[in-house]
This record gives sequence, C-alpha cells and structure tokens, in this order.
Amino acid sequence: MTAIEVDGLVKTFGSTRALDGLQLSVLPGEVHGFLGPNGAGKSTTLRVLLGLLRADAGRAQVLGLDPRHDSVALHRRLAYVPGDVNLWPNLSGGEVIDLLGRMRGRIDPRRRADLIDRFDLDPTKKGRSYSKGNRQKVALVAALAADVDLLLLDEPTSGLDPLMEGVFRTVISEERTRGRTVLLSSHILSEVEALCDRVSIVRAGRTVESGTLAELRHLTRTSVQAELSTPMTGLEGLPGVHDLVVDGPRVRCQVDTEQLDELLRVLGTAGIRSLVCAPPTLEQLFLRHYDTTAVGSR
Amino acid sequence: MTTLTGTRLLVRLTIRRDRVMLPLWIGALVATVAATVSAFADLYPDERSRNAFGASIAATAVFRAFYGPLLSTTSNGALTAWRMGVIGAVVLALMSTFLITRHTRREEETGRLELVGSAAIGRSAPLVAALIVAVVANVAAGLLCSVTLVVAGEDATGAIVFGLALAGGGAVFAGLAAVAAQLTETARAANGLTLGVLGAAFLVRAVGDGTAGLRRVRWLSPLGWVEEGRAFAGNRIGVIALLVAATAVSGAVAVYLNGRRDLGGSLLRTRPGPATASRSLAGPVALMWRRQRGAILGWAAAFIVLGAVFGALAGSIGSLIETSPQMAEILRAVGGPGVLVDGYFAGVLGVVALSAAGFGVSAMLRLRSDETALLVEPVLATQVSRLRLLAVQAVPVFAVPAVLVLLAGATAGMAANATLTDGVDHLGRLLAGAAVQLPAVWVVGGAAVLVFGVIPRWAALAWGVLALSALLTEVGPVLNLPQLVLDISPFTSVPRLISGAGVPVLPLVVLTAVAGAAAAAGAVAFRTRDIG
Repeated sequence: MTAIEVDGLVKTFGSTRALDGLQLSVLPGEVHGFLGPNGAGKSTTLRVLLGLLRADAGRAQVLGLDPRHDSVALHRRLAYVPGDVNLWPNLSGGEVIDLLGRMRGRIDPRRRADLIDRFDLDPTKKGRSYSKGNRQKVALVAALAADVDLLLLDEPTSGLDPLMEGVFRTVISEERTRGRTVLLSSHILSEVEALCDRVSIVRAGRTVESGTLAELRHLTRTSVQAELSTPMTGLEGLPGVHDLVVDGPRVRCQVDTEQLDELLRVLGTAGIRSLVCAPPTLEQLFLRHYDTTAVGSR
Repeated sequence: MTTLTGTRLLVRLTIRRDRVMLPLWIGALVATVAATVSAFADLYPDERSRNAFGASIAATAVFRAFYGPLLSTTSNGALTAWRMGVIGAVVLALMSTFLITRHTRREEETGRLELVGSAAIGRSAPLVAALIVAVVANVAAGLLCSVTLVVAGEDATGAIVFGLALAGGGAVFAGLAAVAAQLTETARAANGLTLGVLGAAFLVRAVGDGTAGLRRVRWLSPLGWVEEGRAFAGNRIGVIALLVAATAVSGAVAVYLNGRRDLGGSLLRTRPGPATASRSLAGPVALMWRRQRGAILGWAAAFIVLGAVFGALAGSIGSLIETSPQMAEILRAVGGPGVLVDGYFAGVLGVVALSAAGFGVSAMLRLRSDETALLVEPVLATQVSRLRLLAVQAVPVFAVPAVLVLLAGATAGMAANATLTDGVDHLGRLLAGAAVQLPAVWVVGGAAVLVFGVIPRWAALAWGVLALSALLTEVGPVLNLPQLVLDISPFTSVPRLISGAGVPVLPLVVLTAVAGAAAAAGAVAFRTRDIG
C-alpha cells in the first residue's frame, strides 16, 4: 500500500506539455523529495494530486483515494502548502491559520502556538502586510498544525531565511517521527538530501530518476578544484574520479562522494595551495546525466 | 523636476496596456451618441414635434431626474445633449475611475510599482502618467462625440461645448479617483470610494433636477456642471473652465498626498487583527461574509437611500399637475395622473433591478479574481468541495440582489405613501413590482455563474450580458429596435409594475427556470474544470 501512486500522468496546457508520462510512488511514513528545475511540472503534479487539475491521461491515487472523485474525503486527511502563497487581505495571519485548520478538520491549538513561536510569526498582521516569507510561514503553520496523515509541500522554503529553513528542517524531522507522510517539492538538492528518505527527480514532465539517496549516490558527486605546489600525474587511475582536467599545477575534477577522502589524500602528497570543494548544482546534474540540449535551452 | 522623471515612458506603458480597453469605452460612448442623434432626427424631424417631445419631458419627473431638464428644443443636438449629457459623463467617469485605480493603487498593491519605482523613475511619475492618459482619453472621447454631432449636421459650437463638458465630467472623476487611490490601501476600496462619490453626485443632481424649486442643488454636483455647460442652449464656456479647474485641483491634491506617503502606505490605515479567529470564522460561509460584508452592507444602504429619494420624488408629479391646468388636461387624455406615477415608478424599478444585477455579477467575478489570485486553491485543498464553495457564492450572486431590489421597493413605497395623497397603497404595489423584477435579475446572475464555470478566462463577459440588457431595456425603445431584439434582455419580459390585471406568471416562471438552468450548467462545468 503506497501513500501516493502516480502512473503515466499527462497534462497539457494548450501546446505546452506540462506533464509527460510522470511516475511517482511515495511510501507511507516517508519524507519523499520531489526534485526538479523550475518548470519541470512539480506544481502541476501536486495540483493533480489535489484534484484541482484534471490529468489528460494516466492514473493518480492518494491515500488509496481518487483525487477527482473523493476529493473531500481525501482533503480531510492532507494539508497543502502552495508554492505561491496568497492570503486574504482583510484577515489576520492568525485568522487564516484557524480558518484553514477548521476547513481541513481539526487544528491542534498547542501545536499551533508552538509553531507560531518557533517560526517567529506575528499572527496579528493583516494578509497584505506580510512579506513573501511570512505568508509562507502562515501557510506552513496552518498545514503543520493540522491533524492530517499527509503533507503536500510545494517549495515550502522558497521565501524563508536560512534560520527559518533550519526550523523547517527540524519540524519536518519531527513530522517523520510522528509517522506522517511528506511529499516535499524542491529545486534545491541540498535541502532534499538533508530531509528526504527517497527522491524522485523530474525534468520536463517526466520522472528521470527515483530511489533512495544511497541509490542516487552517483548523482551526488563533489566538484573539486585544487592548485598544487608541484604538478602531478596519475590521478586518472584513482577510483571514482571523473571529468579530470589537469592544467599544470591546477586540477579540476568530479569525484564520487565516498572517494573524496582518497582523492584529497593523494592531492595532499603534492602539497595543496588552494582547494575548493562544492556539491554539484542541480542544473549541472541535469546537464551531465540527462538530455543536455533540452535542459540547456531552458 | 526629478519627481516627474520617466513620466513620458510611463505614459507609453499605460497606453500600451490599455490599447484595447480605452478604445472600447470611447467607441461605445461615441456609437451611442451617434445612434441617439440619428434616432432623434428620425423621430423629431421638425421644431413642432420637438416641442411636443419637450413638453412631455418637462412633465415627467423621472426623465428630469435621470437626464436633467431639457434646456432647448431648437435642435436635435440639444435633444442629444440632454439625453447623453449626464449619462455620457457618468460613462467617462467610470472609465476614468477604473483607469486611474488600475494604474496606481492596483500597481502598488501587486508590487509592480515597487519594481517601477526602483528604476530611474520620479516619485510622482506613475500617478501623473495615469492622470495624463486619463485626461487625454476623456478629451479624445469628448471631441469624437463633438465630431459625431457636427457630421450629423448639428451646430459646431454646441457640439464642442457638449464634447468638452463630457470630457470635463470624466476628467474630474479621474482627479477624484487619484485622490482616493492615496487614501485607501487597496484598489477595490479606491474604486468603491470613487464610485460612492459618483453615485452621490448623480443622486444630488437627480434630486435637484427632479424636484421643483430645487434647481440650484445641481451646482453641488460635478455632473450638474456638465448640464450647466448648456450645450446647444446658450453654450456656457465658463462652466467648462470650472470642470478643468476642479480636475487640476483634485489632481494636484493627489500628487501632493502621493509625495507625502510611503510606497504601499495609505492615509486610511489598516489596524492589526486578532491573533486567533473568532469561533464563527470556521468555513466558506463565514469567509464569504468577511470578504463581502462591506460591499453587501454598503449596497444595502445605498439602495435604501435610492428607494427613499426616488419614492419621495414621486410627490413632485402630483404638484406639477396641480399647478398646471393644461397639463392636467393632457394627463386626463392619456389616462390620468396615475399613469404618469406608474411610468415613473416603472422606470425607477428598472434601474434598481439593473443595478442589483450588477452587484450579482461583481460578486460572481470576485470568486474568479480570487481564483486567479490563488485564494481559491487553498480552500479547495481542504474538505470544502467545489459545489459547496459555489453554493455559498449563490448568496451574494442571487439572494443579496433580491434583497436589494426589495429594500429599494419598500423604501420607495413608504416614501411615496408619505408624499402622494392619491389614496393608493404604493408600498404594496412597489413591493410587488420589485418582486417581479427578480427573475430577470437572476437570469443575469445565472449567466455570470455560467461563464464562470464554462469559460473562466472570459468571465468578464458577464458584464457584457448586463450591459447589453441595460442598453436594450433603457435605450432600445428610444432607438425603435424591433421587439425581437428587445426581448433578448430578460428585463423586457418582466412587467414593470403590477396593474390590476394580475401577474403574468409564465414569463416569470420561464425566466426563473432559465436562470436556474444557467447556474446549474455553470456549476456542473465548475465541478470538473481546472482550477487556476
């Protein structure tokens, strides 16, 4: 029994094919990362899962229910944070939290107070006076304080500062401990890495990769740039080293994360003058692993 | 002046964004003026027929209240200036209000003005650019009306005064809308404030023009100044200067206020709200009420006042008959003074019903604008179903307009009973007359639900349905349109006032069924269509 089961989903808007045979499978109790660049079809998928959009083809089942036909029964068991949060201009943040909570079913007042405190939110401001990040917090508190089985979060940290991102990560870990299922859409690889048990990667409306983080380890290569005291050879032979470029004392390469230690040890023997290690960006990943031209032109 | 840097660029941006909207407004007005002058030329080809028409106008309070007094019957230009003067100025005032709000407060509300303001753009430039475009649009509309009349063979001086008076009336409201945009925090409130002033201006001059002995009252209203331009009947240029001065002063006040406040700020501030929702704020009904209660209560108050004023005005018909024995003679010939009073009330009820239908349309479109503003999505992601959301909206779309019409009918009836001494129970008759308007009001509401459900991107067409109905009902008979065309408007099919003959039930049942079917079809479409 899966929490979310999506098979061959297709959705077109005019001539744009937003979803093109998308697959997604989310297990109960897991935090599932839904990763892809802007415009990959993440928000469209979530709206189909909520029954707000009708898919042109394919099958979607959420908590064993059909999102189109059983939408009310389904919505009683989930909470949703949209990617673009807009609030009613003449309602205060606290009122919006209570209203959404009551329309979902139940709201836990103690959890509500705790979340408002942790997210450092002023609930007395009116909807239009909130900044983007604060509107996001209102929607997050409303969703997290609801007593539901499933959380659908569409790029929930996009307006939050790093401090609040930290709070968000802690709260999501707590949700996992409580046994809730979370589908977290994001375009930030490190966020998904930090939070998620399993990840599905989408591009241009299609699922290109899906699995546990360990299974996707090949995606998380580190890019290394070093300047050495003396030029050295023989790096090609090291395990897990890719795309090596040697230019006199300067070395550039990609290395599988588990081989990073070995590479640094070898480089150290030649004397390191400067060293930059960076996780690959999502765009680099896509460029490397999948249809380069299509992504490059985006 | 650096506060005006970039004005020229913003004028071009404003024109680019409104290149469809403004020509539509102006074209509709000019076309109506052209149709009116040609219809008058057909109906009243000579001075004698015009004099007879003038006498019937002078005797009818409703005509004076709606259009003002007919100042001259020497030309068809004078007849057109009477018929289209106040109404034309109201149309241009609406155009100006929406234009100014759209390019000032709405831009600020959506945050686009912040982006513009961060560029090398002077602080006053966006407001001044909007005012320039509004004034140019009004002058263009007015002069095109002048040209239309000259082409139709009317006197050029009169035509120009008529056109400039219309333009001046519209421009004054551009200035007032600009001030309102500084006072309120939202575009909706700015529109509401300006339209409230416009309604009051119309009512003040209606009372002045409709009541014997209160003629001077019209000087209190900018729309009265448009009349006092006396196009084709003396041509007072000085009054045009008054309109220009009022526009300049209100525009200057707006620019001054704009320079003194923060971006996004307003003089009427919103206070912080409660940290928790009251127990009653628990579902879509409560949400609808919170969102729309201001509009509902405001409209109810306006309809109560409107009904009372027009009911009380009926008294002037009686006094007119008493003072003029000749008039009493003519009236007896057409069926007695009761016919005149009935005709008056029928006209009032017609306008009341159309306005209430307008409330229904705006309420339905509000759900659509909420949808595009992503405010419907979070509600539908809860256990609120689509049908429930739409059913709640039926309250402002169908129930509230019905209450508005009945309220106006009731206050008009009570005021008429107080001022008329003809022994007729006007309250009962006007309530019944109001009640039979409801099916037609609901047809417009049903059409709004239908377009919302089936073609949400074109939901604004609901206004077109209302405008067409209004045009066919209020102007159609004057233009001698065939009955088949007039019957397109649901308001043609409802009786205006219940006479002794009883109520024609069939049209009412058919109209109610049409309204119900349209709403049901809209609901079915909304249940399955994409949201957003």
